[in-house]
Amino acid sequence: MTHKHVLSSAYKLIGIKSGVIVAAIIALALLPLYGSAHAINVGILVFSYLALGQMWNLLAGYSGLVSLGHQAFIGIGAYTLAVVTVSYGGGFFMSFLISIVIAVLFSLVISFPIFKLSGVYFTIGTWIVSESVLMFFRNWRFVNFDAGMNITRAFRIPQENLYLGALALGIVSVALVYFILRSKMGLSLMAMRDNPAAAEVRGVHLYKTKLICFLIASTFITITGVLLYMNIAFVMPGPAFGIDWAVSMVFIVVIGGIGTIEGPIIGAAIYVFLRQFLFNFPGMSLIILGSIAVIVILVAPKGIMGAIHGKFGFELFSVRRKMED
Amino acid sequence: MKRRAILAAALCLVFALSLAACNGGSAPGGTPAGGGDAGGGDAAWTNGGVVPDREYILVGWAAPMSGPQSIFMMPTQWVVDMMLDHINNNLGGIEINGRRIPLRVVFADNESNPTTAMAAAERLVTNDRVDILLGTWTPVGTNTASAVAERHQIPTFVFGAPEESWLDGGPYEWAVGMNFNYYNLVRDLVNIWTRVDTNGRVGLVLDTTVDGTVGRDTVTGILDELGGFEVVDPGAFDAATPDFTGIISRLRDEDVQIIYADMNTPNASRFWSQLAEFDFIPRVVTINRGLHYAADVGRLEPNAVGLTYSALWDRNYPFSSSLLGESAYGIAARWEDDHGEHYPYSLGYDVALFDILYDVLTRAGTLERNAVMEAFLTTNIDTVFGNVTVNENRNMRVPALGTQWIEGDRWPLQKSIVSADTFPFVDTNLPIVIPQTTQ
Repeated sequence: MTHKHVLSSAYKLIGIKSGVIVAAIIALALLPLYGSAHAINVGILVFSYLALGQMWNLLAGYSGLVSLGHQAFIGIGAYTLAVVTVSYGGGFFMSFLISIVIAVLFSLVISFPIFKLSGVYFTIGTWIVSESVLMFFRNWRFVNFDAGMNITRAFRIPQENLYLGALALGIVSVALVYFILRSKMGLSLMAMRDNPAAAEVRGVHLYKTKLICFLIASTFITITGVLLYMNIAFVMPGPAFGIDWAVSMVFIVVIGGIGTIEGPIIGAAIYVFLRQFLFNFPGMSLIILGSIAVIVILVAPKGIMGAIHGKFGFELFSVRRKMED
Repeated sequence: MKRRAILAAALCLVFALSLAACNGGSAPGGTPAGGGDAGGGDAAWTNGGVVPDREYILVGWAAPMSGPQSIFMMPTQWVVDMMLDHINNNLGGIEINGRRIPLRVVFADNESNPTTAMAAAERLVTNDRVDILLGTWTPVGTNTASAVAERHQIPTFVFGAPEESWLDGGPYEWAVGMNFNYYNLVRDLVNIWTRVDTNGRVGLVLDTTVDGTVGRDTVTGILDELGGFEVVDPGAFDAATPDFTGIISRLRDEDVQIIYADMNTPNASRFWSQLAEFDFIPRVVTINRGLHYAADVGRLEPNAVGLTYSALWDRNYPFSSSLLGESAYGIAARWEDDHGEHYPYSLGYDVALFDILYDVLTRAGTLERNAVMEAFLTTNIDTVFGNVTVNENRNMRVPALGTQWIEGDRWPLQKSIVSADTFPFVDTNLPIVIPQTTQ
């Protein structure tokens, strides 16, 4: 096969892929016109969880920063929304802006101590940070302690608006991770994940790379937290800062396929559809969800996308650089 | 290459089609279990939206069937079976648009978690396309269901939370509540304290939850109004990691003779045993929230006789269910015969729910949402709580009375109402039993 032929085939494939992706995005964006209320509701959850999963994957799958504490940022987003809209009568746009500022500042503050840890110690450290924030909010009178806050302004947001917001967030999260990984920084992240010492010798600035990745993921998770709670409309510290969020993110990424961009897409869809289905089994849902996770890990340790890639070599969003002949 | 393209297309399209296909379709459940009506994809979420074409009335209940609040659901299945049997078989259903059709209930587990509670309520409305939404127990259930009510403009009935917490999310247009008033609850507890000879020193043992937070402000406000009391407040403790040793030491050092605690059942059990370990059991020990169920209280060591708390319903209420025509006492007795244990107070709420639902749907005579809402707002019906009407805040306020555990005849412990100032319809001349005090 000639060089020209290979390139031509590659361009053709890229063209088909791009066409399919654009068609799918258009179909999804038009869902409010032809889908049921339930479809829109499920869509909000899928794309919100997709954004969470994608960011956790960026941290754990591509950078080796396995965090069990990023639910803190969901809680920060939720409470920013509640305080801005309820306590100060602000709008949703203002909530997003302020949540970004808080997320960046908080990430910078905790990064100093937390980046001194690595491996499992980093994981535990992030969890401790999250639990500390939870305790702080539970004992903070300004946010009504553990009693929660009704985000009354969110009661009457049309579902279509929430859906489009979640869809945008989901798409941006995928695009963001894709372009980061296609950039020089993506190479640095993966090098750092695979062998930090070797990466540093080759010129990767470990602290700076980790910090940028951490900032991006934390900020995006915070924004997703704002959107999630625009849907939930009632925030309490326990659930907002709860480990359940981290478990969801891990489930989505591990089931879908860690270290792949498609993995969180598949994982988020499976997770949300499963949760919807498991409403049919009250009291048993978490047991069933856990069992499914165990089975999938045993059968396909690299997740569904990892298994598909292993068998068919298929990737929708390839971040690999291929050498030209 | 073709195979890759097909896989790519399939991946994206399956996802889009999966969403588009989310129109329900499973069989409806008459009893707990999810499901929905088979139906088209019309977005019936607007005011007076399309009423699903089906041969039954569907009520969706977002309830804590798992998690720490699942204790409230103890009598629910029993009540649902009994009431549906009575309505559908004995009464032949409810007359809607000129013909009698059966009532069905479909549940969704909110896992005692607001995130899941919202998803559960949304699912009931959008997937099962229920005619009426129910959200129950604590603000987790009531406030999230009310938010869904407002968003989807669906008639919603919520119960089992402090009125103040629920109203914090109001004003509501599509939600109606049956909730107790926290001020009244605490007022009747304080009334018990005034009837016991003490030095008036009240020690607060409150956690950071909604009950502890609201409780602190309420109790101190009432004690200030009454005068003659002195509050000792060691500060809020975290419900997840309680350590009562410092708190008890402080209360003992301050010579407290009345304790007002508000905590969950495991913490109540721990606190009560630690009081005994410190050899410090004051003349009045009020532990709210954690002592509602006889099964929990029966396990307390030392003996829980004399402990006071607030009952949210009691079989001694001199009222009957208008639907069953049976007294509160009779229904509770039937529960005890069937289950071999002391009745749970949530029984009263579940029974009253069906009294109200049957009345509302009968008066509405249609499932059109505005009509159902109007019927809710004009409720005036006798229940096991007495006559209930909707107040200006869209709440049917139900009583919460000062109660204590005493030695029982049929069961080792039984409830005794000793203060009903805020709802003076029960005999409260019973003597107050003092715990096996060390003071």
